[in-house]
Amino acid sequence: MKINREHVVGLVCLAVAAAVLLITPGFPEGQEGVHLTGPAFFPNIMAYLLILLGTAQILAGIRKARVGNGEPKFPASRTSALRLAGFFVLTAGFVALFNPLGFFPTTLVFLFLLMLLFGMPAAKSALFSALYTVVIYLLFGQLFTIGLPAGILGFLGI
Amino acid sequence: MIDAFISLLRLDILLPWILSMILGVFIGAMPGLTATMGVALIVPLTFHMQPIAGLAMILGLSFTAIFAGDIPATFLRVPGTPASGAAVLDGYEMSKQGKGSLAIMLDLFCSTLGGLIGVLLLITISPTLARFALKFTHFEYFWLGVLGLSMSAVITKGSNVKGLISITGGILISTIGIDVSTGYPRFTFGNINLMGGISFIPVMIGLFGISEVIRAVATHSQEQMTGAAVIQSGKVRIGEILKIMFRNKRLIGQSSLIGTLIGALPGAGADIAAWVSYGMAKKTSRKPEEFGTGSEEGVVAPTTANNAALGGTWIPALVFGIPGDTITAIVLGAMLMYGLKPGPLVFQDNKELVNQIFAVALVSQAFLLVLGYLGIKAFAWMFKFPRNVVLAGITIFSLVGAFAMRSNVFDVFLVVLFGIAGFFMEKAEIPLAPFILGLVLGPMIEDNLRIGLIKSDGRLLPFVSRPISAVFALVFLFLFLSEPAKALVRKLGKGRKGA
Repeated sequence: MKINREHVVGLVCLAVAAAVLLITPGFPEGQEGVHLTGPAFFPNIMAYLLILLGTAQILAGIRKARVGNGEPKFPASRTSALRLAGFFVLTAGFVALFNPLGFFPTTLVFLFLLMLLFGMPAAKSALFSALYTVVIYLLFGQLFTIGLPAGILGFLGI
Repeated sequence: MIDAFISLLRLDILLPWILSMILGVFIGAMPGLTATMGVALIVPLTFHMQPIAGLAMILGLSFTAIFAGDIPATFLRVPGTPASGAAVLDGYEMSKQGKGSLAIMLDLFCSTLGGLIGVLLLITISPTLARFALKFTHFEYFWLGVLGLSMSAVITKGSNVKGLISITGGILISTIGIDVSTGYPRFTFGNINLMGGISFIPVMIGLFGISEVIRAVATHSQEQMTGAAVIQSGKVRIGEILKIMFRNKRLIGQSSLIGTLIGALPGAGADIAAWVSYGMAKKTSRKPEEFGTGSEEGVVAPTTANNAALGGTWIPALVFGIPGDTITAIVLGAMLMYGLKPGPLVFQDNKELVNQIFAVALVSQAFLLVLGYLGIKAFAWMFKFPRNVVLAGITIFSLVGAFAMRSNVFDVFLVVLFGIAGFFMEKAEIPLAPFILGLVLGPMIEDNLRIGLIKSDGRLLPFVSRPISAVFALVFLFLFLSEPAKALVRKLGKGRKGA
C-alpha cells in the first residue's frame, strides 16, 4: 500500500502526541491537597486527543488507499523546488543576520535577492529593495519609534 | 448630550483626534502592529492634553486600526491585527474572484455600523450588561472558551477530524511557556524566548501571510498570489453596498450584539468576537455552504462584530473600572493619570466627561467611514507596483512587522516557521483558522478549567450545575450535536422512503 497524505497527517499527530507524553513525565506533580493539577494535566489531555485523531486519520488513509485516489505531485517541477529552496535559504539568512548585521544591510540584500528570485531584473530589484528599506525604516524606526537593530552600522548612530 | 457634541468642536480636540485616527489606519494595516500597540504609543502624548482630547485619540485610533486590519486581510490574506483573522476567510476569497473592492467597502460600512451599534449599546445598556458580565466565574469562562472552540467545528470546511487536529495543535502550542498555575516552564527546552509562550501574532502572520507567499513561490505563480489582490476594475456603488447590508440586516444586528456582549466580557475582545460571530453567522445562515468561498455574510459578520466589540470593551471599563481588553486596560491606566477614577461613580462625578466619551465614540464612526475609505485608496495604490514587488513587500512587512512586536528576532523566526507549517497544512487540507482559535482560546480554557477544579475541590459538577454554565453547556451540546442529529434524521428519512 502506498503511503498517502492522510497517513502522513496521522503519523505526524501520533509523533507529536508521543513527544508530549515522553516529555510531560518530567514535569512536577500538582498538589492533591488543594486539587491543583500539575503542568502536565492539560497537554496530556491534548496528546491523548491527538492519538485518537491521528488513528482516525490513518484509518481514513487506509480507506483512501483502497479507493485509490491520486494526489498531485509535490513539488510540481524542478524549478519550483529550486525556487522554494532559494526562498527558504534567503529567509533563514535574514533571520540569522538581522541582529548581527543590522536592519539596513540585511533588509537591502534580502529584498534584492528575493526580487531576483522572483524573476525581476537586477536594476529594478535594486531600486525597489532600496525604496522598501527606506519606507520601512521611516515607518517602523522613525514614526513608530521601534528600535531596529543597527548591527555593523551602529557607529553611524542609526 | 448635545452639549457634549458641541464641546468637541475645538481644534485642540479635533486635530489630535483625526491625526490619531489616520495613524490608526497605518498601524492596523501593517501586520505585526496592533491597535493595542498603537494606543500604547500615543498614550504618553495624551498626558499633556485635556482628558477628552486624549481619550478621543485612543478611541479614534482603536476604531480605525481594527477596521484597517481587514484591508491586508481582504487583499493579501495577511491579517493586519488579531481582530482581522476571521475577516480573511471570505474577504480574501472575494478578492480572488475579483470582488476585492466590494468586499472591503462592505467591510468598511459594516465596521462603521457595527461600531455605531456597539456604542449605542454601550450608552444604553452598559450598567445592566456589566452587572451580568460580573456574574461570570471560572466555570462560565471555561464554557465561553469551549463555545469559542466549537465555532471551529462550524467554520471548518471538509474533514471534521482535520479541523480538530488543527485546533488541538493550536491548543498544544498555547501550552508552551510558563504555566501560570505552578510557574513551571513547559516545552521551553531552556530557550528564554519560549518562557513567555508563543504569541499568536507571529503565528497568524506566518500561517496566513508567509504560507501564501511560499505557495506562490512553489507554484511559480505570482499571478495567483497578487492576482487575488487586484482590486476589481470599476467603482463599487454605495447603493450596491447598502442593498447587501439591507439583505443582511438581521445578521448585522446579530453580529453587533454578539460583538458587544463578547467585548463586555473581561479578557475577551474583538478577535474572539469576530470568530464567534462568523461561526454563529454560518450556523444561522440559509446558505452555510457558501461560507469560506467568498460569501457576503462571511464578510459582514466578523467585520461588524470586531468593531462592535470595541464599544463593548468600554462597558466594564467605564462602569466597574475593569478592563474589557488590553486597550481598555491601557485606557484605565491613562484615566487614572488624568486624575479620573473609572467605576460606577464616574457617571455621577464626571457625567459631562462620560457624555463626551459617548459623543466621541459616535462621531468616530463618521470619521472612520471617510478615513477608512482613504486608507483603502492608499492601499490600492500599492497594487500599481509590479506583482513581484508586492510579493516581496508582503514578505518584508510580515518579517519586520513580527520583529516590531517585541523587538525580538525570535518572532521573525516563528513567522517563517509557521509560514512553512501553514503551507504544508494547506497541502494536507488541514484548515488554518481553527489552529489560531485553539492558540487564542487554549489558555482561557486551561486556566479556567484548572482554577475551577481547585475551587470545586476537584469536582466537575459545578461546571454544569451553575445556571449560566448550564446554559452554555446546553448551547455547546446543541452546536456539536445538531449537525450529526440532522444527518441522522435525513438518513432515517431516506431509509423510510427506500423501504
